[in-house]
Amino acid sequence: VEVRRRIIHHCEVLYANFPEAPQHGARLVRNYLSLVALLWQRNQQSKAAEPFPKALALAPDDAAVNNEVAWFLVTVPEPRFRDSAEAVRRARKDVTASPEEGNYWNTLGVARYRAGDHKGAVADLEKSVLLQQGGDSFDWFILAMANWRLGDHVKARRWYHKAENWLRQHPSQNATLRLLRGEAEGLLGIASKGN
Amino acid sequence: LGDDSTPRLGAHTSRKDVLEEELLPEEGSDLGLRREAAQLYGKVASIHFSLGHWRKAIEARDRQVDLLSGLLEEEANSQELRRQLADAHCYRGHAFRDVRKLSEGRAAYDQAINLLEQLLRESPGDPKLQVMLSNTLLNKTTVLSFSTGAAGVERLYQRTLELDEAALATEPQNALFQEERALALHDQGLFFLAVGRANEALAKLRAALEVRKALHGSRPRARAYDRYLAGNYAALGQGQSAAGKTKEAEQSFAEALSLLEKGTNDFPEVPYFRIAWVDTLSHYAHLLVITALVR
Repeated sequence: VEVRRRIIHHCEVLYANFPEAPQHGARLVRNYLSLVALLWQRNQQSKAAEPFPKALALAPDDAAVNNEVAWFLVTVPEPRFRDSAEAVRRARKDVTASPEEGNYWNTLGVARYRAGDHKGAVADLEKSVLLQQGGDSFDWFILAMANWRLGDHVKARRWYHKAENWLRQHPSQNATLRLLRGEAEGLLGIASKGN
Repeated sequence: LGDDSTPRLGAHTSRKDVLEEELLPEEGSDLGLRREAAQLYGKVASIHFSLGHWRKAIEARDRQVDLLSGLLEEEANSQELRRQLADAHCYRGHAFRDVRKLSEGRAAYDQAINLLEQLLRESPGDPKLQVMLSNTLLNKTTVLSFSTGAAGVERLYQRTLELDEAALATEPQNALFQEERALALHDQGLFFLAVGRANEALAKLRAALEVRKALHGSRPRARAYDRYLAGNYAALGQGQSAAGKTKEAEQSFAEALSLLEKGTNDFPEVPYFRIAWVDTLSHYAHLLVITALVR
């Protein structure tokens, strides 16, 4: 927690002193949200009340910031922070402003999947896949789950195996990816191959 | 970089303004003046870039490109002008990348690469050209997606290392060439790490660190290079962390953080030290969380 607070201090300096670089806002918000998740994990929920509103209030017109917040709101393991409606609102704003940014379509797809709009999620994620030269497992696991919920089990399994093969070739420590894989395996009734 | 950037920026900007506002409009046909103006725009752009003024850096580079392109219309065969133009495009690429305009960054790097490939065809064994091209290819990898274009990115790293090694075969003691090779090994190591090839990553990162430590110890370096040495320690820490070698990773992160803390405090106006410090602290925080989970 102390290290994360130090990181936030430096991110705030960068954000204030070098406003031209859009990544500083995204970096700052990502660290606010990491601190929120960490405090929650450590049962320090009251302390999490400070960085969370800061993250939500930071630069609402900055697409990269919005994307970080939306992604957090639909992938954070703690269900009390999840807010798929707010995530959809932010992600929609991003794809309207930057329709060629595949990553934003991926976030919108995940958000719409979480909001129960499975058809919309498939459309968004197919767009993400198209714009990102084939996409990656962040698209494919959700495509597997959304197709499954739409009743297309053949397609769902195809997307799942594509994601799983990619992960086997590119082992990842990414916690969100592991979360999505676990969810997909649970939904599709596939025994976990994850380590 | 860092200690005297601001005064140098003032001096170069004043000379550039005199050239731009008073001499060029009247003496626009004077090749010497236009060459000098192009060089000054390049210097001004470099300093703006170091200080994190990316918009001004891009503006100055664009003006430099205009001037060099105009000069090349009159001296189409000039290798020196084409090298300068390639260099200007490469630096435009860096500035676009740093403000996350990745497609503009890619286009700028491609313009530089086309010029350098042509120059290298004309002078195949020129080690400076080999290293310029290697550096530009390496920078191009920073605006490509590892997840969707891994095979293409890997080929670029391979070519980069071949070019660096060819240059070092001609001038084995050249410190700049060794620095470039270390940079290529380091970036290739990070790429292997990103695509889950941890053992290959560790081998490359250790090799890069050995080169850098030797360079660092052999002669006094500009403080700017501390950032690269720190980056090497931080990358090695990430590799060790991914391989479960937490003790070694902690040590590597500590080395990196010590260099970066000093750089950030000594040069607060230069963003890159602080950015690297933040990134390294983030990786260190990740390691702490993983270690706590394992315990």
